[in-house]
Amino acid sequence: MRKNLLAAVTMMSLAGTIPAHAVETRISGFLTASVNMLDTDEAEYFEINDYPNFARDSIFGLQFDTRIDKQLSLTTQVVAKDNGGGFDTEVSWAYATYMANSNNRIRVGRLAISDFHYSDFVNVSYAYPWIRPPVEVYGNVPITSYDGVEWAYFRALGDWDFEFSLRAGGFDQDVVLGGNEIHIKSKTYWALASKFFYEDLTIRLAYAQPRISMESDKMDEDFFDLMPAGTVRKLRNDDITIDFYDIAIHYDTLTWLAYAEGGVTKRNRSPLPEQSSFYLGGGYHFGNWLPTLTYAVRNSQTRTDLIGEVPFPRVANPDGYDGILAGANSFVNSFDEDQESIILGLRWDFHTSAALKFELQHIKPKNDKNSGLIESVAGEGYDNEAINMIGTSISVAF
Amino acid sequence: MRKLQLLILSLVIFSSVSYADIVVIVNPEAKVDALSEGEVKRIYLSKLKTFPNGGEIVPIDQAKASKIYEAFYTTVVKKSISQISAYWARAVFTGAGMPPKQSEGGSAGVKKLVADNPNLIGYIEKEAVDSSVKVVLTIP
Repeated sequence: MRKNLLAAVTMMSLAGTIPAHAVETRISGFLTASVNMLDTDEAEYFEINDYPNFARDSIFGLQFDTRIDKQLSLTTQVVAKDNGGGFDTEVSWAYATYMANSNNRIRVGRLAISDFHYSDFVNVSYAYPWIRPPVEVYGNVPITSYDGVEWAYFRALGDWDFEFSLRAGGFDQDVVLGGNEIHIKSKTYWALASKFFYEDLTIRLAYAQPRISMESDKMDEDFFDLMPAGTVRKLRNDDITIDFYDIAIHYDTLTWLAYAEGGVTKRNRSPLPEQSSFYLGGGYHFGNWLPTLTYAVRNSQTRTDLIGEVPFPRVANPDGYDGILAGANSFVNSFDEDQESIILGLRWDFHTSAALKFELQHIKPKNDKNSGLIESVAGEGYDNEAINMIGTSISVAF
Repeated sequence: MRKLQLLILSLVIFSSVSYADIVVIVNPEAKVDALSEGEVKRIYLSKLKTFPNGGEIVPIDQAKASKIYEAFYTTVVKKSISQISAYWARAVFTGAGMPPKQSEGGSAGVKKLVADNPNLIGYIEKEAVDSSVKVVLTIP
């Protein structure tokens, strides 16, 4: 994890007038080079089609940790990845850490969103068994960082180690989700997370409440122009409070690996769908080889009953009112999407800092609904069939 | 005949997993006389950061390519090299901690570092122990 020579050179260039012995900088990095493709030309999955796709999961990151003294340190992580229109470089994290004592830590700056078990290292494929964590669960919260503060508390309870964190702040980001460019912002985001460690077992509970506004090209502006502001707000996730709950269990011994995680996303008094999703699975360590099998599912539950509570304009022409109501139903139902998948994976740790992975994923729309994540290719006649994806990756952490 | 088979079997198993005894050492001035395997495991996973009666603990690793590194992690920490590498990748990139610094000088190097600093803890072969360090745990 260290590059001492590089660290020393960087330290000299960064430290300026600070005495060199007072500051220690460590540079760590990660890389994933991944190729994926589908078995069909009728559909796309996160822009992956029947040609080998390099962009989807490939990523390169560098992290600089500068320790000013025992209590104060600075961390910056720079990441290069494809955000839908070619590779971009961005500062994904930049924060200061203050260890008040061995039990209390405070951070300020651009911090990782950690709503899910793997969220705060989701970019580091080397650290988990799959090429990417199941998108049925992880795709529900596309935001990866927020600007604000975090307080973390650590303590041992007998043989258990306990970690609690409270985060608060906001975010303003563009993401690509299901082929749609979405601008998501939140003025108030706060979250709680608790982690319990015992021997090889980790249990994690999390709750988050962002108050968000979204703008998406999926939303038909002409349709919204027909409605008063209050209606638009409810229908398009404009200033809507979201409640998010997540539980994860991870058990990893020298031989057996087992994992499960489930999350629920509820939009407060919005007809847009509640989403519940989970994955579960496991594997067995045969020396440096780790075969895994994972089942993942994502269910949506639209609240069309709440459309009645949305303040629609009582236009003079009853036909016009019915049209708006039908349009609202259709709009809300377009988000009613379910899918499940089975992921068969094989990880080979061919080096102490690098792993080669192979994956076969069978993805299927569920309950006669659209998948929501599989996109049909125009004119190719995709009709909600299951699709298969194969992928391979090399992931490195250094 | 059955006893002979058992003997051969046990020899095979023993020789495949055994390693010369490993001892966990601290500075003679450190205010601790014994640590449990569980405590040492938590120290090397950066979960336990102070000695039972106070004082910062700084663990020192042997070289990643050494046999004693693998033996220590599989026996005491109960993680394979790839599992412990993934563990530290998670910790580093969540800002939760840094892996222990590695001594490239083998057991002699670790012993010298520990002998010079009361905050350090290390693991070496039992044969390498002398009065410059204090043994707090022996792993058979």
